[in-house]
This record gives sequence, structure tokens and C-alpha cells, in this order.
Amino acid sequence: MIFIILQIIFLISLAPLVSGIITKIKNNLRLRRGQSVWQPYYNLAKLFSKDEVCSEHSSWVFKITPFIVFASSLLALFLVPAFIAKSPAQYLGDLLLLVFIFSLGRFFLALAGLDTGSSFGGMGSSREMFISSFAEPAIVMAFFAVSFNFGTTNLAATCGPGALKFSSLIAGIALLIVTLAETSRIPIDNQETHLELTMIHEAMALEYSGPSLALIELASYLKQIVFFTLISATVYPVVFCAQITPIQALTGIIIYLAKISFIAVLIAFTEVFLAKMRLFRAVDFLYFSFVLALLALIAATLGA
Amino acid sequence: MHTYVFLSGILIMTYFMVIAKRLPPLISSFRLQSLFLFLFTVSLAISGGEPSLYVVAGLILILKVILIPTLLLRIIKKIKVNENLGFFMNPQLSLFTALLLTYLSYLFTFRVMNLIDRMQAASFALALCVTLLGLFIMVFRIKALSQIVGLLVMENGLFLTAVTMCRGLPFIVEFSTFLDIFISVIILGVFVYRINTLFTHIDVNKLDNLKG
Amino acid sequence: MQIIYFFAIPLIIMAASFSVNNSKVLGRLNALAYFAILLSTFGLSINFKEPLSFFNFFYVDALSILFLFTISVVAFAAALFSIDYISKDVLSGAISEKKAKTYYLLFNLFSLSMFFVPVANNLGMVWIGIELTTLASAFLVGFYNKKASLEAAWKYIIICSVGIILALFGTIIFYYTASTHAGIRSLNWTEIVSSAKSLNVNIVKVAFLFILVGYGTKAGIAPMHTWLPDAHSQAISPVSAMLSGVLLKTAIYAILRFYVITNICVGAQFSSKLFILFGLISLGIACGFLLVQKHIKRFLAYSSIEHIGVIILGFGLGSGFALYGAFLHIFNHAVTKSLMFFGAANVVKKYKKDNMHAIRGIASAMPFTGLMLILGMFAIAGMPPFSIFFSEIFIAIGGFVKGSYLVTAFYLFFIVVIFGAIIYHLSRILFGKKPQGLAVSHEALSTKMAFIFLFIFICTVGIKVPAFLNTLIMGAVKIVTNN
Repeated sequence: MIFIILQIIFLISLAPLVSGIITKIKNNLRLRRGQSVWQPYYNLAKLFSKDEVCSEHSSWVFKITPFIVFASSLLALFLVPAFIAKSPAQYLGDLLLLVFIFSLGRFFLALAGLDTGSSFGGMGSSREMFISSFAEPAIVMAFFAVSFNFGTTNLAATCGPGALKFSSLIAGIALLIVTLAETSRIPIDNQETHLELTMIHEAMALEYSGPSLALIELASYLKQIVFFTLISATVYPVVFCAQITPIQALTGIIIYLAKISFIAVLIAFTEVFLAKMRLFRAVDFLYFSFVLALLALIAATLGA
Repeated sequence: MHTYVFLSGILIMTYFMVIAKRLPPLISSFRLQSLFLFLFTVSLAISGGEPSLYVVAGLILILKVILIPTLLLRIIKKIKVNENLGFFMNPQLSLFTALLLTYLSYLFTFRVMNLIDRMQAASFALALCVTLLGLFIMVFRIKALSQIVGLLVMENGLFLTAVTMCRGLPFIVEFSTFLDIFISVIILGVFVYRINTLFTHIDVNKLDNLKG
Repeated sequence: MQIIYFFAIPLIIMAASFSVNNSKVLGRLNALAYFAILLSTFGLSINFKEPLSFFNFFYVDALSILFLFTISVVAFAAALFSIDYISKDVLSGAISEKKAKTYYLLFNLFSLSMFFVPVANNLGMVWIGIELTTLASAFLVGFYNKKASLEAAWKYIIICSVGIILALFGTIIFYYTASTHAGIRSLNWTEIVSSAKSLNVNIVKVAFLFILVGYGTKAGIAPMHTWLPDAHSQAISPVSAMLSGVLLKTAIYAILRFYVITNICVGAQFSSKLFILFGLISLGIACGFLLVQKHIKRFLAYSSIEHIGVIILGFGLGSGFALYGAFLHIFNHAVTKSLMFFGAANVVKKYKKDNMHAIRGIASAMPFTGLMLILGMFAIAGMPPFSIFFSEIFIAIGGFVKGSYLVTAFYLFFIVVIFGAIIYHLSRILFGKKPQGLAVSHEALSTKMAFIFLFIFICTVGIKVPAFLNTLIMGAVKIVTNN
């Protein structure tokens, strides 16, 4: 139990750092000094201490959304195994639930974008829904491929010890591409700008300020780390089972950190070396990940 | 473990080539594919293969990772051609077909070849799939240069077959094959160059004067 | 070490093409060199008793020598024909003096690579030899650097490369089963054939399919023939003769080597069915195109597809008669088709057009070429007493002997239709009034010699197969039937 609590706290506190690291690497690759890796924490602290402004045209949906989004991300965090092959709340649900939880958050965020009645919010919502309608099948398919190898959709089992397979590797790469879309990164979206023509995620959250914005940002950090954890667990499974010694736990943490930072570096490089795609090209990109996931499924059915 | 990584790297790069819309990404994907092939060969050589595999791996590195892509990129720069590949079949349908071809090659491997070793079966299926997708790129892309790349992808698939099935062909054959590939790329490059000067384009769908 | 001549002499001429400045002198030197090669292959075939092997790398048996001899006959004729053809091109300014020298360089490279194929023991090296023939002849196909010839060359090299890659795939699969099931860590034909029985039947079947489709592309077997009419019609004419006469045959040679292994391992039924199928398809497609073809060199190219179909069908029928006929046909078609291409080359050069509707009265405009074309027309269509008639009849008899009546009936039907098509199209351009203002012209001595040289073979083989050729063919049949 104590492990579970510790793991959750650890992941929550780690989540903004991952974003900070990615931003730092990107800036360094572009030969800039860049902001400190701790900047996300400062931002959160600042936002939480600020006042909040709400549009007078908005309804209760607008006010409730940050909490739902944050709660969904937090719940997702409970489902994924990070250091040990046991998810904190594995009797709660499985891979499919994870997809639904994220959909719930996305649904409310899109509603909130529409709710304020600003044109940007509506645009962002419609784009987000468009993109997610291509991203979600890919996620589900990749999950199927992974779970096919183990005969269960239970996350703890699928991320647990077991031979690394060809199919899980391909599924991991498909997930990596989807992650770019889900965490609004460059070929699909761009976190760094508020350019009205291109933004998707930022457009939906444009009307938020103060603690609500902080919650939404934190939720997206959490979502990011959940995806990273999932990829790392499918491609390079967690090796330690439930009953472990502190030494093993420490090793688990170190391995986990190595995996996460590897993915972070990979993502940073992709963001720097790829250009942002037009919305309709982004569909091709996501379609590609769907095909890869399907490929993984084929490989899995044939036992490779 | 690392074998799987290299193999899936080869596969992903092949799929990247199927969706590539412009020539430079196509060629850089080919370069990466060859790099993965090189790593795969080295890993096989280390895990107790024949010493000639090291030489072959070196040849891959020199020819397919460094020389040939550089040569092709230089041709593109020199002839100043429109970089778009041109599709006979749009990317979405191409990807779907690629998937189908992959499935077929898996089926072929498991039904016809009756390979017992799972690892060997997977890599043979992959090799066959790479060969087929190379053929696919040759047939369904318009630019003459993409046909060269498709040919090279097919060669990569063949090489993968040879390495996984029989730990490489006899050395002299392997060596001359590489030399052969290099010469044929140069010759094809010369032809692309000539076609561009004479026709002012390199679209193979417009090479249709000879019929019947 | 007689085979050293095939490699040494072309290499010397290649070196000479850099140092000799006059292309006409170079051409004569070239013809002389190929005469020497012809003599050495002739010596080899007369003295042939048992297979020779050098360093386990070269392996020369009756099958190899048959192909070597065919190649050297056609290459010598092409070299003779080139002298006048190239110097006329240089005179008319179609090509520069430097390009003429390049021609001789490539010509030698091309024939060198073809000589390499039948003597290599290693099946991988056979593959490399065939790939080299493509690379060497690609520039000869695109020699004039015109739009049409470049297009043809591009199609040629791309389609043949794909085909040949499939063939390599087949070879690798053969190697796989040889190394895992028979324990042979080499691609030497002699070793694989000696333990062919222990290969895996299924895998050999798959591999042979790849080989047949792959090398079949290079051999111009329909439906993989699409490059052939383009390349043959656009290539520089002496090379068209070599392409059609012997290049296709080297690919057939490669198929035959695998055919032997497959037949021992799987049984003759499997390859026989495939060969008959592809042979009939080739005959049918060639038949259709021959009826409507207008372009004279394309017409001859489609006729090549027909004859390749006949050869493949002969091997597919597989009885002694049919095999003998198929081997004889390989030689007969090579000499006859070369003669026809030379004639067509002279016609195209004289009339400056290649549309058969616009060419009339060859017999009166160019008496010698006209005469040769008339005789060649009957020979290629399969009229007695010319040699092709006999090889075609042998194959038909072989079919009846084997009891494949339906196949043989189809075969005879196609042959008869094609006979009609050839006689109809060619007699229209040969006879009739020559266009006004077209002076009667006479050919150079070297050109006449090339024609006569080939025609002697057409006639003598038609009347009686020479003893040495007979021995070679019997030897080849023995190798193919494996007893």
C-alpha cells in the first residue's frame, strides 16, 4: 500500500519535470539557453496563487471541467504500473478503461471549449475531436496487440514480466506516434504557440485562468507521463513483481527513470526535426500509427 | 532483445517509405533502414556468426548507409526536380496494401516454409515483406528516383533473407552482389540524369511513347 | 584452360578501344577477335568429352558449351555486321567517333558477361553474370540517347532488375534448403545437384517459382515480357540481334540449371506444368501482337517471344524428342533471328523509317538484303528445309510422344497462325515497287559476310545437324534428364 501511495506521489511530482526536460532539450537543440527545467513547477505555483476570471456567458460545464479533467488523469495514473509489475488499482479496470477515462476528460474539455462561446474554443474543440477520432482507434488497436500476447487486457499483466515480443515493440512505436498527438506535440499540435491557425489543445483551454488553468496543465502533464509509462512498459516491461525488497524498488525506479528520459529525449528530437503538419496531413500520420498497431496485432496473432 | 529492436526498426522504416510523400524523406528512411540492417548484421556477427559477416556489415555501412543515399540526394539537388513522389495509389490505400502484403508474407512463411524457429520465421517474414514493399514502392510511385529506391529496398529485403536464413551467402557472391548494386545505382542515376535532360521531367507515367 | 580466351580476348579489345583511334580499325579488330573466340569455342565443342572443372569455380559441360557456341556464333556475326553499321553511323553524323569507341567497349563488356554465365559453377555467380548483362546492355539499348531509346532503356533496366532480384530470392531459398537440409555450405551447382534428393520438396517448389518468374523476366517469357519489344526495337541493331539471339538464352540457361535440381528433387511433373503454361501464354501473346504489329523491329521482338515460348514448351513437354528440339531451337533461333535483325537494320537505315505500312519493295531497292530477308522470313516462320522447321517439328513430335495432345494442338495452331502473320507482313514489305528516288544500294563486304555466315548455319543445320552440335545437344539432353 505504501508503495502505491509513494508511486502516485512520485509520479505526480515527476510529471511537470518531464515536460520541463523536454522543453530544455528542445531549446538546447535549437542552440538556445532555454528556461530552467523547473519552470513548469514555477508556472503551476504561480497559477495556483492567482485569481480566476470566468466568462459571464459560461455555464457550470466550464467550472466543473478542470476538476473532471484532472480527476481523469489522476485515475489513469492509478491504473498504470510504473516500477513494479502491479498497477496501484488493478482491480479497478484495464486497458480499455484507460481509453475511456481519457475520452471522458477530452469530452469535457471539448465541451468547455464550446461553452464559453469564443470562436477559438469551438475551433479547438472540433479539431481535438477530429484528431482524437483517428488517435483513439490506434490506441485501442495497439492495446489489443499487446493484450493478445498475454491473453488479458489487465494492464499489470500486459506490462509485467514476459518475453519481449516483436508485436509489442511495434505496438509501442504506434503508441509513441499517438502520444505525440495526445500530448499535443509538434507534428500534430504545438504547445509553444497560441497561434490561432494551428493551436488545438491550447485553444480549448484558452479561456481558463488561475487555479483552473493550473489543474488543466497539471492534468496534461499527468496524461503525458501515463502515456510514457505505458510505452515504456510495453516495449521494455517492468521486471519486478509485487513482493520486492527496497533495493529492487530502487533499481526499478532507476530503470523507470532511464526509460522515461529516453522517451523524453526521443520526443524532443522528433519535435525539433519534424515540421508541424497541416491538419489533414496529421490524419495521415495518425493513420500510419493505426496501421502500425494493426501490424502489431497481426504479428501477435501469429505469435511473433 | 536488440535483434527485435533492429528488426522492427527495419519494418518501421519500410512503412515510412510507403507513406513518404517527397524524395528526401524517402531516401533518409532508406538510409535509416540500411543502418538498422547494418546493426542487425553486426549483432548476428557478434553472436557467433562467420567472420565474413563483419566485412559484409562494413559493406552495408559504406555503400547503403553512406554512399548510395548521398549519391541519390546529390542527384536530386543537381537535377532540381520537383521533390514530390507522385502517387499511383494514395498513401492511405498504400498503407493498407502494405499491411495486406505484410500479412501475406507472414502467412507464406508459416504455411509454406514451415520454419520451426519462431525468431527465424519472424525475420524471414519480415524480409519477404520488405522485398514486397520495395516492389510496391517501385510500382506505385511515379518519380523515376523512387523506383531506384524501391529496387534498393528489395535488395535490402533479399540481404535480410540471406542473413537470417543462411547466415549470409558465400562470401564471394555476397561481395559481388554489393558491387553489382552499387554499379546499378550509378547506371540508373545516369539514366535519371539523361531522362531529365531530354524529357525535362522524371515521371515514369509519362514515359509511354512505346506501345504495342 | 581453354575458357580463358572468352575472357582474355574481350578484355584485350576493351583495352584497345581506349588506345585505337580509328573506329573502323577497331571494328575490324573486334571482328577478328570474335573470330578467334569462335574458333576456340569450336575447338572446345569438337574436343568435348567430359565436363571440365577449374578451381571448382568454373564448370564446363555439354550444356555450357552449347550455349557458349551459340553466343560466340552470334557475337561473331554481330561483330562483323557492326563494322559497316557503325562506320556508316559515324559518317552520317548520328554518332561521334568517340561514341563509336564506347560502342565497342560496351559490346565487349556485354559479350564478356554473357560468356561468363554458362561457365560459372556457382549459382550466385550465374546470377551476377546475368545482372551484369543487363547493366552492360542498358547503355547499348539507350545508345542513341533519343527519347524513345532512353525510355526503352529505363524500362529494360528496371523491369529486368526486379526480375533478377526475384531470381536472387529464389537462389537464396535454394541455398537455405541446401545448407539446412542437405548440409551444403556452397552454391556450386555440381554439389547441389549431387545431393538434390535431400532438399526440402516444398521449399524447392517455392524457390523454383521465384527462379522461373525472375529469370523468366530476363528471358522474355510472357507475361513478364513487357520490356522486350521496347528494348529490342530501340537498341542499336547489332545489339538487338545479340539481345534477341543470345541474351534471352542465357536467362534460359540459368533456369535450366535450376530445372535440373528441381526435377531431381520434386519430380518432372511440377516444372513441366509450369513450363507448358508459360510457353503457351508466350505463344498466345506473341501470336496476337504479331498479327497487328506495324513496327518492323518490334515485329521481330514479338517473334522472339514466340520462339522463347516454343523453347520453354519444349522443355515443359520433357520427352527426349522435345528436349532435343528445344536445345536445337535455341541455336536455330539465335542464328535466324540475328539474320533477321541485321536485315531489318539495313532496311531501317535505308528507308529511314520503321513502319511496315510505309516500307515497300525491299527486294528491288537492296537486292542482297532483300534476298536474305526473303530466305530468313521463310526460315523464321518455320518452312522446310530451314533449321527452325525441324526443331519445331521435333518439339511437336515430342508432345505427341508424351501424349499431351491438347497442348501440342494448341502449339501447332499458334505456330500456323504465326507462320501466316510473318509471311503476310514481311512479304508486303519485301515485294512491291520501291519508292521513287530511292537508289538501289549494295552492302559492304563485311555485312554480306555476316549474312552468309549465319545463313550457312541455317541451311546446314536444316539439312543435317553437324556431328559436334549433335553430340553437344545429346549431352545437354542427358544433363537435363539427369542420366
